[in-house]
Amino acid sequence: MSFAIDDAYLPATLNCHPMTDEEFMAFCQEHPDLNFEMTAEGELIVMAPTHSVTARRNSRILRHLDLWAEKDGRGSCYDSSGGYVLPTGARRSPDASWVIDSRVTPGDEGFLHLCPDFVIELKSGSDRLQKLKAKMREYMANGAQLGWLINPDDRSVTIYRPGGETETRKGIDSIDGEGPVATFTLDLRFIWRPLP
Amino acid sequence: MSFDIDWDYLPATLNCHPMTDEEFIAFCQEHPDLNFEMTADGELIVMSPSPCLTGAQGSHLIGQLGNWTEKDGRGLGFDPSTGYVLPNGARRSPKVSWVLKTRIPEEDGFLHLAPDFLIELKSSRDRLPKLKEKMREYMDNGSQLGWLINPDDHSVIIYRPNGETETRTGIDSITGEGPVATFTLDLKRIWKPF
Repeated sequence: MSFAIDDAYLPATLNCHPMTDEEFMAFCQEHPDLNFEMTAEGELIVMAPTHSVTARRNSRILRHLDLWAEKDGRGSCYDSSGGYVLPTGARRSPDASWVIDSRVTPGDEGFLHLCPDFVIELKSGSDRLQKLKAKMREYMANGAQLGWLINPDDRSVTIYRPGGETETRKGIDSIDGEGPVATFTLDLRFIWRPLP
Repeated sequence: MSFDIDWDYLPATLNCHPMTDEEFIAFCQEHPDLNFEMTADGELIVMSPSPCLTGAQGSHLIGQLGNWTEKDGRGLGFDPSTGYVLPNGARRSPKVSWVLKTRIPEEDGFLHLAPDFLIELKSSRDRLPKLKEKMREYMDNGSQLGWLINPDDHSVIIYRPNGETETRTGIDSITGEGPVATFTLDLKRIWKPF
């Protein structure tokens, strides 16, 4: 039972089945060159490799969020290698996320069985907006307090709030947090113009 | 640029791009062992070959609709090898479909329209939410009536043009509406195909 899919056809969604953490970890180790997510119904998502421009944007977002998190002291910032198992059973790895430390079991080094308090997803060239929006709605439905979907294509940020409310802001150069991350401000200028 | 996916991982949805009819035919010819659909925004769906139970159920459906179609005379029935290009650009191949003769173009090729009536049949490999999405897409694109048959719980979900749906469970037959009002499908052979 195997698959080989050229990068151009990624991301891909494959028929599969829900896995335990151990099964999922073993599966990922069999495919060290690929990153995976899993839907609540157990479909396997083979993620697309990130392009350099998206990587530059991502690393800047993470640096800002991590610096703020350290100063703030209540929680920690996670990059996209952090695997979350949401209450629905979906396995997700948002581009950047933040979790209040008191929710994390000390010494627990495995997957986080919770939904992050704050999530940022960054649209890359191979992402489809519809699918990213569905993912954002899933985070909110699973208990996230705030979500930002950053779309460099039209320089917009869509804000997801608990209760299903969304707001899209365009033509902005920075955005302020709300709720648990109210003191965080993300400078968007580098995201809109990441190239030297 | 290629892919090789074992049967267990099908159906699969791959990143791709919208194609012209010619491009799509050429692509299908490069993969003669596989069947494809395509979403409106150009994602490629590699279909799973049907388990034999579903194949037998599908054959019963085609037989019954075919008999009625011939007697009725106003339309043509189509099998799942038929490629539709819906108004939104999606390429779909429903399990069984029916189109009024007046809407069918003279030249052969893909049907650039949504079928007037269609039936989708859930196999053990299909996920119900995806099939429901597909049914809504047919209706949004102009179909007059859709039936989603689910042998797992002996149910039929009826899709009507105004977005209305109705689920009937534990029935042994179902009668058409609108353009296929005189068609009655005997479901006993679908629930017990062997």
